[in-house]
Amino acid sequence: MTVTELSNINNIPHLQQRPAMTSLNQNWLICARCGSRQLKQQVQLADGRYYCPNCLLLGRVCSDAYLVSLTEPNKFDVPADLLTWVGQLTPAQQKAAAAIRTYFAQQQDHLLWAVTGAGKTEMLFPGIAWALTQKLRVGIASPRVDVCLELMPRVQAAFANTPIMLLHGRQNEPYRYTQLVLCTTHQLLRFYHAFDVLIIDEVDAFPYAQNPQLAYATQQAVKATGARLFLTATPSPQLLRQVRQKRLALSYLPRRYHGHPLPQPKIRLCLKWRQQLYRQRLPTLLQRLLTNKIAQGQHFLLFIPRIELLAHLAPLLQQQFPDLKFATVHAADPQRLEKVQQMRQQQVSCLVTTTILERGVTFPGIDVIVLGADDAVFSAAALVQMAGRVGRSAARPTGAVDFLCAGLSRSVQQACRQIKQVNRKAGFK
Amino acid sequence: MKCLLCRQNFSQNLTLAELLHWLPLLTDQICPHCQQRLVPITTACPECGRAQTSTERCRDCQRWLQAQPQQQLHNQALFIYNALLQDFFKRYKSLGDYRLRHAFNAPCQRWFAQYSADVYIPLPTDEQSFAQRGFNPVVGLYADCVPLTTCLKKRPQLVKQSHKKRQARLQTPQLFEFVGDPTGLNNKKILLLDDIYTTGRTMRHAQTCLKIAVPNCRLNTFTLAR
Repeated sequence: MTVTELSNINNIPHLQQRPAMTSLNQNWLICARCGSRQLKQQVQLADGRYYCPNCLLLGRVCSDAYLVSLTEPNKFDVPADLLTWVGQLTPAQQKAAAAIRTYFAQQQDHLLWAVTGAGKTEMLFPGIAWALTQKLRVGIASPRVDVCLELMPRVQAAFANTPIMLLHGRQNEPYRYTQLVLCTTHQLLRFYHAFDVLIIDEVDAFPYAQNPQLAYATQQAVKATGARLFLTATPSPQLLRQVRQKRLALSYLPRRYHGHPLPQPKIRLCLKWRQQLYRQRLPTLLQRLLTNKIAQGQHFLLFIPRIELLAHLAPLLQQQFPDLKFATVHAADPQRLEKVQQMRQQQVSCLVTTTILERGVTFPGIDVIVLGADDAVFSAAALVQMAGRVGRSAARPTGAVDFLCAGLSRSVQQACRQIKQVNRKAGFK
Repeated sequence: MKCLLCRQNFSQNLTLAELLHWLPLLTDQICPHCQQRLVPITTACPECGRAQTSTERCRDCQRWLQAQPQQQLHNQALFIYNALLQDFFKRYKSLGDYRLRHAFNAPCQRWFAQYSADVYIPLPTDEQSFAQRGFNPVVGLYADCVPLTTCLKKRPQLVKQSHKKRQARLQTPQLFEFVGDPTGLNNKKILLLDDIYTTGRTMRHAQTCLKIAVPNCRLNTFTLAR
């Protein structure tokens, strides 16, 4: 907002304003919205002003603009019948839920390390319910829009009488002011000292993990007296360092809610699979695995390392398995959300996908095949997450995870070791 | 290098000639993958530069000729206005990412080296959109390629050309006026520069305006996209 626009709204009470960009020194300046450092000479406009290219998609901020925010008044009408969720937490989950609530009350940052399929979302409900009754403003953020879309109905069902605003980049609904907000981490850039409690799901996921601006966004979005809760199944070394430095409290949940161990991935050697795909042949091992799964009527996810491989794999699958109903998904796919929805409703029995579906999505009773698990794009965390898609429902707590690789990479070894360790910690042999 | 369009890292493959000759090196700002998505215009309509299979005058230009018989344009465009360029102009002009002005420096410089002129005149923006954007998109695109002479001024516009339908665009009255000294332009080879040629309305107004101010000059026009 420019100064002239600002003068018109200056009579609104509780209005805070701060310059949108501040000069660090002769050469550098910092964007107050996204926290990125910019070289003046690179971001200068023809009329001498500077702008921030980093958060451009939210609308350009220039050095003569001001960021305006309202102080959060915390005046909410809390419905009498708040928590409409009916379900039982296991003793381990109850313990974690109690810890969450305590840290919310103590206004302390907190890391919840729970294995994939531990029932993280359900564990949050008591804590959120407590915060809402205290008239605190609560935000739930995730780096992935898929995760947000999946969380929305579950959270809405749990708090049926509380309005929830869902914010993400592809949404056109106008903004409503609500006590409970569900958004992607990018949307947090729009908030300034707004939340008393901010929950960030899947903190190790792309793009949050690689993007210091998003970490800055979570800092800005939460009040100075607020509490942040980080959720993950595969914490990064940085997060664990913060825990060691006692800047972050930790609770740990190694067991899934249904009490079964995580499925251990099977490493299978599949040499020259890439060349075979390029020569329009399905690798024999993949073909055998697929034939078995299709014969059993098993639904499954097939992960591949690169988008370009989809174009080679899709016609082959169609040709070899004409009865198989499958869809291909990648990040730039315009129909991505519809296809995931189809898989969830079991209209398709297989999704061939890149890493975008590695986390946060639950399809009941599926198996997972990772083709080229040794590819450099798959980090250990990504592999653990992909394996964690399996056996999430109590109805089918087991399942098969196959890593097809042409060689053994460090990530594959680390992922298998991590799963083994977590299972041992949970008391399985 | 980071590609200005897709932000991916890439390295430019230099040819032996580029390594050996003594001229300054033209550095590509666009990765090979994005460059593949650009469609250069080879055979085109001689008047408006539209890509087509024949070198005859296209239907639009025939209609222009009927309306204004003595006004012939000679426009050349580098690329077909496709999804990639649409996205580029959205980010450059609408969102205002001024860094993108360098994206097409290399192909433009190659073109200007081949078809040089005496005077290069960029089409102006009106004051309101300059204040809003903080830059003139046409000047940004070509300022690093050739020395520019500003001698046109755009009258304030209520609605932007890009927000109008085709018929409304075609009915737009003269938008430009000549400012400055026309004597220096006499008998010169002039190249008028714009970013996109869509209906031809803007370009033809600019041409008329210049022809009235400087009756004896050779006038060609150039746009990045058509």
